Amino acid sequence: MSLPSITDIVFNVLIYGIFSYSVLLLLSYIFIGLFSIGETHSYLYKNSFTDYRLLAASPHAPSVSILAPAYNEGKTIIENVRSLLSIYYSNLEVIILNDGSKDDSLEKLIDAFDLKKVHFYVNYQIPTKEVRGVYKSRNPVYSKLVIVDKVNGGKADALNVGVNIATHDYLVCIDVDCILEQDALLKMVKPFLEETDKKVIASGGVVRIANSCIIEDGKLIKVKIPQKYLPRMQSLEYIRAFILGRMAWSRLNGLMLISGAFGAFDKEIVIKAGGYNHNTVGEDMELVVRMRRYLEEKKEKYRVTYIPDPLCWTEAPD
Amino acid sequence: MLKGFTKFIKPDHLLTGVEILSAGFFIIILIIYCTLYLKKRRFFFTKKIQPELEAWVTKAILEDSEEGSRFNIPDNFYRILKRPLAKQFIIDELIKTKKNLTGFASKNIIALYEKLDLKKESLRKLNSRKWHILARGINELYSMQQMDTLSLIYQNTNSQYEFVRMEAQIGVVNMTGFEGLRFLDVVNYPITEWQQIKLLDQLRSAEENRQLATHLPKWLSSANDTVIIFALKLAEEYQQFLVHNVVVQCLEHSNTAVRLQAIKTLVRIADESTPQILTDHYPKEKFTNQLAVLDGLVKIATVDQAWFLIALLDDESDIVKLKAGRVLAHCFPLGLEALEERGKAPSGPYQDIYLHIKSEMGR
Repeated sequence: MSLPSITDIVFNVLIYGIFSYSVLLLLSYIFIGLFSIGETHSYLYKNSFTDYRLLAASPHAPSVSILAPAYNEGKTIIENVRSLLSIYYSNLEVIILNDGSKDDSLEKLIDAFDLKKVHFYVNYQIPTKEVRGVYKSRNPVYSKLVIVDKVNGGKADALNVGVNIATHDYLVCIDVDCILEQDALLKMVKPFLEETDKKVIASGGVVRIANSCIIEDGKLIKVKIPQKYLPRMQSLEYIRAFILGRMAWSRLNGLMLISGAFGAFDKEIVIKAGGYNHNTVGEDMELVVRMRRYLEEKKEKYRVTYIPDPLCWTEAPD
Repeated sequence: MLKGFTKFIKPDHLLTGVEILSAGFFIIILIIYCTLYLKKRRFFFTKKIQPELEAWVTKAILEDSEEGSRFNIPDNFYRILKRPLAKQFIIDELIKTKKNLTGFASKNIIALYEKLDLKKESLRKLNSRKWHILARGINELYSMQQMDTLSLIYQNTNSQYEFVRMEAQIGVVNMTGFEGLRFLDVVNYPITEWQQIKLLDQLRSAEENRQLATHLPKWLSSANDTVIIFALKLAEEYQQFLVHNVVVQCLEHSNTAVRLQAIKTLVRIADESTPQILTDHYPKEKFTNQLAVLDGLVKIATVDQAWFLIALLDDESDIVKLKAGRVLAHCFPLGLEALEERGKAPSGPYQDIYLHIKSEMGR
């Protein structure tokens, strides 16, 4: 075979290979897009006249512990905690996990919320770094608030401490600097109440970029497109990833990732799966995979659900 | 093989592939554009009619006239209402407003709904094959208290479509209160916890049914486990002491969730025998339900359970130790002192547990 004909074949293989890959990739995106549209439509129809308020006040609503790890967040910690305490849900506790901050976060919290150190028996169901102290407020207005001061061990370790300390049935893990929509928690908890033959083990929602948005007193007032190029591109990527990809995977019950910025979990399954792994950077995905594996091994039916509503807003680096 | 491949790969084939793909993209973009255009048109149309409709509806429903008095409907209003979008908009507005009003204004909204012949629109939805339209129709009819459609709504309480039967169940309870719960006799699909919360919320405004205790035993022995759970919640919410014995039988049910709810209900309708029943049942239970028993005992334990609880302080689980200690401290005069004594033990978490409970009790 002559050299030109070999070159011809190589080029043709390359061209057709790239073309086939592109076609397959695009078809898979179209397939995922169609699935996502179907699932989003179904969600919108089902919730078109849902009154979430009754869940907030119902004595039969499940109990929820919010876990918010904080490391050197002194500048904004007070405002962020106030924002979390303003969430409208009766059966709630808010656990702030001070992960050995080197700044004055803890002192600021003690002053702002009139905290006192209490004796707290920590049951180390998941091994973690040492807890230095647990604080509760003297003011009954802040009775939902629990502040945990622990030795620095990273986000995963802080969340595991939260799992050990939480007294409620469901865990909502969030980044302390996130801004939640007013009904975010209610929307997040609802899928757990809708389970029938399949146990709902985790639930996630859309996280959006808050750059350039108008925020007052820890509440989102007006949504705006980020002005700078980089956050704007991230905004687009977030929408693609959260609405297009995850919605479709949720419909296929193949969702492997609940965002670490805002996700809800069944506490019992989290503990049985061994909690967060602090030897990985993708601890949120790793936990969901392990929870799924635990239930697969138990041969129990389960679901990881996803909500296409924007529930949580976060600042992106610019 | 290479020869076969070279035969197959021709520039013409590549061109055809690109053409097909381009056509596909063009069609997708066209569909997206058309959808967005239609949505935008609908949005602006709604925005245009919204102020006029809202102002008129508000004026009409707040008119201080007897129910049944006729509203003066402007001509242009009838013209607008020929558009299905406007009809749906006004139905939604009326439902939204009615949720926040009671008494005379609420009756005025219903009268207005009937006067504008919107009921026909809602009834039309009941014939739809699409589940979400059917459910919307049911929602509109019960929200507007159209009692003559009760049997139509009732037929859907066991529909194969989850959302349709949920709306129908809410509808019959909304319209007839406790009477509407008769669907529990026949429903063979699961009633989710969310649906149970909604049903209990609907019942909150209903007059209490004295016949509830006579229906409960039947529901408590239903073949549908979720009906049993809901009946247990009813017994708990409405303090149905008469069904105490039937609830005790539910502790032997094969479903863990039923047993868990039975424990919670028993705590709420407890008599003097309940603490002992729960402690006798404790060893047979799964771990999570055992914890629920201990949580319940905090409210109802008597001195007869003291030895049982002291024995639990030696349980292998530290959570059980903590919860048993909490019951001891809360229910017995010398419970906290007993814990303090135990806290002096050289091993085990007893000192921490004692301090934790003491701190909880604010001592």
